[in-house]
Amino acid sequence: METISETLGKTFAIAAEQPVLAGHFPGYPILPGVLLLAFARDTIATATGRACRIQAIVRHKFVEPVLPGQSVRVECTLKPAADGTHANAACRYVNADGKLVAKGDYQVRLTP
Amino acid sequence: MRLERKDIEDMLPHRAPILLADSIDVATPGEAGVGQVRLPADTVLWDSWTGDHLTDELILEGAAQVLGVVMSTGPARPESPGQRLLLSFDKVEFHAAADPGKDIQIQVRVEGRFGAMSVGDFNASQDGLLLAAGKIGVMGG
Repeated sequence: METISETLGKTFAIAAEQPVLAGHFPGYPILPGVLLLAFARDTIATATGRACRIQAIVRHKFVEPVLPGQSVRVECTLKPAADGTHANAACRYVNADGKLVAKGDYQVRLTP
Repeated sequence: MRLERKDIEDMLPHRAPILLADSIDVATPGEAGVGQVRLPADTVLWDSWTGDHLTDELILEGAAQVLGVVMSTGPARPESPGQRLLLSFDKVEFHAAADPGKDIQIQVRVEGRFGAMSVGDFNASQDGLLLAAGKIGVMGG
């Protein structure tokens, strides 16, 4: 069955007041890299209107640290599987300057 | 060798609410160990997201922390906490969903060192149920 890819995007502001930054790390806050995966899930869920769980990380590379005051735009190309509940997602994460901060390929499950 | 929270704080720059490793039993210094990880289930970490919204992501964070501590017990310990950087996740599979109210056991083993980069395997389980497994790449040691 033919599947159609679609590209989704959402921008996240990295406010210094976010609670997680108090511990990551005291005195030199950096966005925990794993939050980028939650951003990808949220981007896909918002665009599709369905809950999203990453079931597999094929690969994910961190390129640059993300600091408070910056923003991260998540752009995911979603290729749904024929079963209607799974999809392959290729995501890139760029800062406000358009610089790549991370990228990843995932298998996700979408549920109503 | 068993490392308690205070020992872990000496080796990692992480602090609440994102310091997840409670204790670590180091089987082979610098190479392998098992950590007990507790998720901050009811704690808001990001916007309205609490720990129980982020269980899979926090398992990865916990695995990276346990790996970092185990690596710090070997001869390649960095001079100060925070000198290891998370580089990558590869071939990670998530299985059962974690119960955020229970401890998670995370087993790690350094698979190889390639110059300044190291790769470790991890698997996370809860009450014997596999939650996730895969590979973590870190820079430094």
